[in-house]
Amino acid sequence: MSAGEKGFVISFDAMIALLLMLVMLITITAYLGNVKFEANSSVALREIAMDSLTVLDKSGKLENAVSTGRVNELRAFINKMHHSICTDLRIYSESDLNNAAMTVLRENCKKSFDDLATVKRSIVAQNGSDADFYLAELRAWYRVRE
Amino acid sequence: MRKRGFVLSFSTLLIIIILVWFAMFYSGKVARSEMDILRNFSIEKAGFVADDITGDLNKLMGTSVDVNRGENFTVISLGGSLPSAFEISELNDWETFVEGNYASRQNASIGLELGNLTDGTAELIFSNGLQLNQRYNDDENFVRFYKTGGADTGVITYDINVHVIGALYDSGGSDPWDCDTSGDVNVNLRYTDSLGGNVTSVCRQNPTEEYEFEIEFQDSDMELKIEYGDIEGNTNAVKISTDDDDDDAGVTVKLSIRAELPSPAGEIKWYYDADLNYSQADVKVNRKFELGRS
Repeated sequence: MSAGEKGFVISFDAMIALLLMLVMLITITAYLGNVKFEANSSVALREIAMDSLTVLDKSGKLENAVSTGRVNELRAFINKMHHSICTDLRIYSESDLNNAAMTVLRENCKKSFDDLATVKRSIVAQNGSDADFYLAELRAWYRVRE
Repeated sequence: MRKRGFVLSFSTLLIIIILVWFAMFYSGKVARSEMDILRNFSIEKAGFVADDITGDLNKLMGTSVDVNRGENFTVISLGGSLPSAFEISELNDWETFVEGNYASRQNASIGLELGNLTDGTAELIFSNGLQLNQRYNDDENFVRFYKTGGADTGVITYDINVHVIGALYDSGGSDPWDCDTSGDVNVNLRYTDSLGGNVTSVCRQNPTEEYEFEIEFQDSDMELKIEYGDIEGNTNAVKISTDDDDDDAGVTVKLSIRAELPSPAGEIKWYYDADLNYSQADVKVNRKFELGRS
C-alpha cells in the first residue's frame, strides 16, 4: 500500500469514528434534553391552588362573597398572588352545580395552559339560623407569555 | 500497531455506550420519580377533603376549641353560644350535600356518621378523658364540660365569660352562688350583657360541692344557669344552661370558658363523636372528626 492510499484509509477511518461519535453524542443529548422535572411544577401549582382556596375558605372570604354577592375580597386576594399564576375561581350553589353563581377570573389571564390544577372546597354560609351550601372551585395554571 | 488501534476504538465505543446507557437510565429515573410524586396526590387530596369537611362541621356546630399544652400547665379554651347559631337539623341537610353533590364533584365516595351529634346532644371528646357536651333541644340548651367516668377534671382555674345579647341582667331576681375563698379551684365568672349589665365573681370553690349561679333578666323570661362543682356525679365540672322559651327569641348567650390544668404526659387530641369515611381509588380515610391536637 502506497503512502497516499494509507493516508486515505486513516482519514476515512477517522471520519467514520467522528461520525459515530457525533451520532452517539446527539443521542445522549436528546435523552438528557427530554429530562424535565414537570412533576415539581405541577405539584407547586396544585399546592398553590389548595393553599389559596383553603385560606379563602378559612378566612371567611368565600362565605362573605356568597352572603353579600360581592367578589371584591376574592379579587383582591387573587390579584395579590404571584404574577406567574393565573386563576379562575367559580362558586356554585348547592342547587345548581352546572352554572356558576359567581366567577372571578384573574385579569390578563388567557385560558391557555399545558398544566392545570383544579381544587374544590365546600362553603357553609349562614342565613339566619339556616345554612346554605356552596361549592367553590379554583382552577390554577401558569401564565402564558405573549 | 493494528492491535493498539483496535483497543483504542473499542475503549471509545465502550465509553460512548456507557454514556448512552446512563442517559437512558437517568431519563427513565426522572419519569419514575414524577410518577411517584403524582401518585401521592390522591393521599394529599384525602387530607384536603377531610380538612374541608371537618371545618364545615365545626362551623355548623358553632364550637371553638383551642388547647395550649405547656411544659407544666395546659390551657383549654372553649367557645360557643346558646342557642347554637344553626338549627341542628341543618346537619342532616349538610350530610346529604356532602355525601351527594360534594362527593361526586370530588370524584370520591364520602360517608358521614352523625347520629351521635344529631340526637340532641353533641359530644366533643378529648383524648385525656375530658368531654364537652352541647345539648340542642327545644326545652333545654346547655354546654357541660367534665371528665368522663366521674373523675375530677383536674382543672385548677376556670375563667368563665358569659355575654348575653338582647336581655338585661336582673339583680333582684338573680341568685348568685355561694362564693368560697378556701376551696381548691379558682372559679372566675364575668357576666356582661348588651344592655349594660355587668357581674363579676371571683371565688375559690370546692370542686366536690355544687354551686349554682342563676341569672334572671328584666325583659325576658329566659333563665341562665351557671353551675360549677359536682355536676351529675362529675366533680370539678362546669355547666351553663338556658331554658329555651319561645318568648326568648332573639336572646343569645355567648360563652367562653378557659380551663387551666396540669399538663398531661401525652399529646391531647380532640374530636367530635362522629365518623368520616372517605374513599377514592385505593385511598381510604376512616376516622373521627378530629379538630386538633396539642
